[in-house]
Formats: sequence, structure tokens, C-alpha cells
Amino acid sequence: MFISVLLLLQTTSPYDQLIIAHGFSRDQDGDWRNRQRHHTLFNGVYQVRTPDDQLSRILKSTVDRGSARAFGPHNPGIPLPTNFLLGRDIRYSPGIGTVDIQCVSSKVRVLVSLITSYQRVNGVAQPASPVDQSDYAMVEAVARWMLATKTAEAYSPSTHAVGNQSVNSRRASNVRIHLDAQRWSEICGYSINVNRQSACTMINRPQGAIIMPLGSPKVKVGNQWIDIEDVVISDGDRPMIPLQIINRL
Amino acid sequence: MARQGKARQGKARQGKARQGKLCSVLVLLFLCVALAPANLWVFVTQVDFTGNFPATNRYWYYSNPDGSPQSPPVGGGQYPSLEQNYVPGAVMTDRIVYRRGSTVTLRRRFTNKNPSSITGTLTMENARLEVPAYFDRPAQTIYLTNAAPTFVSIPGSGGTVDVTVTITGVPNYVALGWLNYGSHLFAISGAPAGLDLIQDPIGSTGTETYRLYLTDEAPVEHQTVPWTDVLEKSCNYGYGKAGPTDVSHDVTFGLYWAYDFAYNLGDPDVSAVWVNWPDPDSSDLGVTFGLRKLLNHMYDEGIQPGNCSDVSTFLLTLQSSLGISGDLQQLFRSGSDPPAPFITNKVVPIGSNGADTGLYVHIFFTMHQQFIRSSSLVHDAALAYRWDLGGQTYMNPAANWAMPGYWQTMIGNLSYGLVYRDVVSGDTEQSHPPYPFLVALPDPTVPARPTAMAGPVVFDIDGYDYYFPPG
Repeated sequence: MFISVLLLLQTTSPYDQLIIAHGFSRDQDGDWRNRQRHHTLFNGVYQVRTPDDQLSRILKSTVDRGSARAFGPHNPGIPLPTNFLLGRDIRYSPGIGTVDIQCVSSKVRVLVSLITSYQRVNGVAQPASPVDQSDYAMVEAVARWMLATKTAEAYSPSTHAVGNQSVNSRRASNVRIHLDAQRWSEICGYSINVNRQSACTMINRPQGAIIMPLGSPKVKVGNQWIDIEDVVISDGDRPMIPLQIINRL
Repeated sequence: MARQGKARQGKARQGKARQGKLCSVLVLLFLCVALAPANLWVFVTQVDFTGNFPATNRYWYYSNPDGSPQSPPVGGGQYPSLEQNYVPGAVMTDRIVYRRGSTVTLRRRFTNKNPSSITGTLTMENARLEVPAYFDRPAQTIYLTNAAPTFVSIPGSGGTVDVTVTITGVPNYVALGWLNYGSHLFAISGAPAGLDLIQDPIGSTGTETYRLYLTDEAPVEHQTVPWTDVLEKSCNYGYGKAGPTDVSHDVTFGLYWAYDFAYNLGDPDVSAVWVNWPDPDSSDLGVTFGLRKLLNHMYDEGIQPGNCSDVSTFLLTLQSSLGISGDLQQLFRSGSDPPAPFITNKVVPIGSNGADTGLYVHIFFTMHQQFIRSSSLVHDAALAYRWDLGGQTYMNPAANWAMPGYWQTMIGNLSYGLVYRDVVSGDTEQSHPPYPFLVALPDPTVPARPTAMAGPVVFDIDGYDYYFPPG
């Protein structure tokens, strides 16, 4: 049993592992269900066909055409649990019955949506098991891993020379080049820590740490957040560091 | 050790006794077969209903004709047109859909395994519709008119004959239930006269059973090939009614009171859960509806979250399955871009108990979507309304409410319909102890708007498609 779980974890993506660890398993439709908590998690990846305003237009379309909402701003600007940025554009809606994240990179749009079934108590419908902070954090981490890995898959695999050594890389243009962060850190003699639960990578340098939240459009070097061309990506479970950042060090 | 030895001996004795019993049973079985009457040799090997509507369900829709899953799941799969077919590997169904009041016609194939030919009289008996209980409707049996006796002649040694019979007296209203009938084939020649020859693989006593759904008209639009798991709900909701006015009314009421949906007003943007707008560049808006996913969750778990887009799209699907044509419309306030919010009249959202006067509240909305029939008759299963358009106690979902009165009807200084009035600076939101969402508290110094509010802006949803979860 333990071995089969280990095998399962080894053969699933980093975001699937997070979902499984949160008590979900696949149903017949391929959706994730946590039957104890009556939760279902939908996720999907869509190719971005047009430039970077895709999500904004989708969100506007959703608002105009179908989001029957109560009074209040559609996208209230609530910070994510980690407080880090995610995607080039994002819609984040944490509620009591659902939590949705839609985020976009230059290549893909990712949707992660967790919903709960309802029950009636004293005549009033309410979530059977309200969505809570731990669910918000899990959905954020899943969205980060999905955006980072699916964007990386849309880039071309390549290699890049660091000193006299070759490092696996992914590239989408002459600017959007990302190197395997672990390998790069080893060559440079830095230690690296990948926090799977928060989907954040930290490279420890004497001159100041590099913090790379997956899917973030900014990377923190020392005390400064630096814009990158796209978002922080990950080749499977191996986060990558933008060459843009390396060149600024 | 000695005890184990005794136990082994005991087991050996039991084994011998069992072998002896087995031999006796085999001998008896042999005698039974050898002395069996000829009626072991005539079987019903095919049943094909005709005049019925082709149908499907949430599994068959994404299946190939042989029942295997489609890859990719493009949809459009249907139940096999031959309902029963007893050959190896055949796929079968026990779901049939007819228009209300139809004559049920079925062709049955009889196969004679006897070496010699057989003639006989085929009779049908006890044709009936077993209607299941539903909320306040008790279970009942509706007796139908059996087909007249028919003379049949079946060649021997695997010969077959097809016999078409009809069952009449089917209710002339929306209904559902188990269609049962028994049948006998009494021998005239080739077997002892009067012997019942039917050995029916469908039912050991010669009784056959099918789930029968009776629609108001031929199913339309996305349910032209209706899903029986949709009909299972729509036929229960519209049971006993005929004609679009009454059927659409009862289906709307049925959806509201079924507690299949709960309005997800506790979430900040009240997103649609089952309706998607994935591609704004698409010419048809790209609206999709996860019907299979929704049905899976409803049948599996019960109450599902959704907003008015979800509820109205599902209502459209239910109505379509019964042959009720209609459309979806969204209502906004006019006069500003983006549209300004408004305050609803007192309502109870779907999922909560509309029979409790203490649960009626005002809500801030900026848009509301409903099913409409005949271009202007609104059916809104997402909300129960405290009053009707004449100001009388109503406490039910709007059904057949005409536009523009549905949007707002003024009687003196009091407003009825969807809109109470526009939002003024003194209006606030507050928690309401039973509800998991904020409700609107209109400024009490502005009891009602003295004149009717302008609008609405009406936005029609041109169409939608089903989508299968990407997996």
C-alpha cells in the first residue's frame, strides 16, 4: 500500500500530489473529489492564442455575459494566501462555497476551481463543508504549479552554458530563457530550497536570497522585486530561474 | 492434534455427504430436463419499440454505438435503437421515450429452439405504468390497454417470427414510470395444446419492464435526443400536465422545490459553476454547460451550488427535454456602463425554503438570468418571490410572468416583480442570521420608488453547447 502510494506520487505531477495530499481522488469524470468534505476540484489548462490581454477579456466577457453576482466589485483584489503575485493577470475569488483562481501566462490560461456541495439546515441552504483557508492555500499552490509547468511545456527544451557546463533550459524567445534552478545553484555553489506546499523556491546567496514564487511575474533578489518577461516556470517538479535574473546578478 | 484429526474426519464426512447431495441434484436436474415440457424452447430474443424518440443519457452521450467510451469524448452517442437483442456482445437499454398519449408499438422476435414448428396464440396481459412516488405524489398504477391476441407460427430449429403489437391508453400528459406487461404464447400445434410456450429471458414470468418517459411534445434543441437522466427530473416536475403553459410552469416550480441547486450567493462574485464562457472570440459566445458533470454531482451528492445562469440553463435543458421551446435572457439596469446594481424584491434563493416567510430578503443584483418562453414569458427557478405581480402573497418561483411586468410592476408606490428599486446611498448590506451571505437592507427612509425604474437591458443568450470535463 505504502509502495503503491509512493509510486503514485512519483508518477503524478507536482500539483496532482498536492491535491492528493489534500484528501482528493479522481472520479469517473477525471475530476478530483474529497468525498469526506463534499469538495470537488476542477482544473483545466487552455492555450492562450492571442496576446496578453486574453484573461482580462475573458473576465470581462464572463462579467458581462454570465456572472450573476450580488452587489460588490467583481474582482475584489483579495490577496492570495502567500501574498505573492501570480500570473500576468489573475482572477481570485475565495468564498464559502467555492474558491476560484484563473491566471494566465504568455502561453496558457489555468483554471482551478474548488466547490462544495450544499445542505439545508433549518430551511437554509449552506455549504456542507465550507471552503477554508487551507483550501485557499492548496488551490493557490495548485494554480502556481500548473501555470509554471504548463507554461514550461509550451516553451522549447534547450540547453544553456553556465561556465563550461551545460544546464537544461526552456526558451520561448531570446529573452524568455529559463535555466534549471537546482543545477544552476549547484554550479554556483548556492543552496536551494523548493517549498512544494507554497510553490516557492528560494536560492540562498551570500549577496541576498533569490525568491521565486512559481507562476509569479516578479522575482525577488535581495530586497528588490524584479519584473520578468513572463512568469516563473518549472520543468516538471524542477523550478527554473529566468536568465534575465541571472544576468542582473 | 487429536482434536484436529477429528475435525479433519468430520470435514471428510461432510464432503462425502455434499458429494452425495450433489449427485442427487444432478440426477434430478437431468430428469427435469429430459421430462421438460416443450415450453422451454420458445424465447423472446429481440424487442424493438417504434414511434419512440431516440434517447441517450449522460454516459451514452459520450459512448460509441458498441457502448465503449468515445475518445475523444465528442458527444452525440445514443441508446441502441434495438432495445433488447439477445446475441453475444449486443448492447441494450430499458429506457424508452414517447410523446404523451402515444400508442406504444413494439416488435418482438420469438425464436423457437424446438426441432418442430409451433403455432399458438400470443396474448398480452396486465399492461400498466407503475408511477413512482415523488414528494407529495403517491406511487400509483395506471392500467393500459393490452394488445389483442395474435396468431403466430414459428418454424422449428431456431426459426424466428416477428410480432408487432401495440399498447394503448398511455396517459395524455407528462409522466414517467415502469411500463410492465406480461405475455403468453399458448400452443395450438407442435406442443401440447394450451401450453404456455414463452420463456422470456427478459423476465422469468413472462413480464417485461421498461422505464417509460412521456414528454409533452417532441424534445427540442439540445435535448432533441433527450437524456433520460434529465427526463427523470423533468417528467417528475411536470408530471400530470399537458401543454406548454402548464408544463413549463410545473417544471419551473419542480426545479425550485427539488433542492437540487443552492444559489451560491455566499461567494464574492457569485460565479457560474456549470456554465462556462471560455472563448469570448467565438462567434456564438462559446457558452458551454457541463450537463454530465452537473448530473453526476446531483445524483451522487444532492444539492449543488450554482448561480442564476446555472439554474436557468438547467431549466432550459429540462424544458427542452419535454418539448418546450424557449431561450435564456439576462436582465440589466439600463443607463450606465457597466450596469448599476439594483435591489431585488423580497426573495428566497433556490435551495432554501421558500415556504418560510421569515427567509424572504432583498438582495443586491447587477444582472439576473432566466428562461423565457414565447419571447416574453419569464420562468425563474432561481428565486421564490414573496409577492406576485398583483401584490398578493405568492412564495413561489416566477412562471409565465410576462415581460416587462416581470422586471418591475408598480402598483401605487409599491413595486413588484424582480426589481424593488435602484440603489441609493442609504442602502447597506448586512448579515442575516440564517443565511451564509449578506442581504440588502434598503434605506427605510426610501420605502419604494415613486415611479417605475427604467429598463431593463435585455441580453439574449443565443445558444450553448455541452462540454465534457477535460479530465
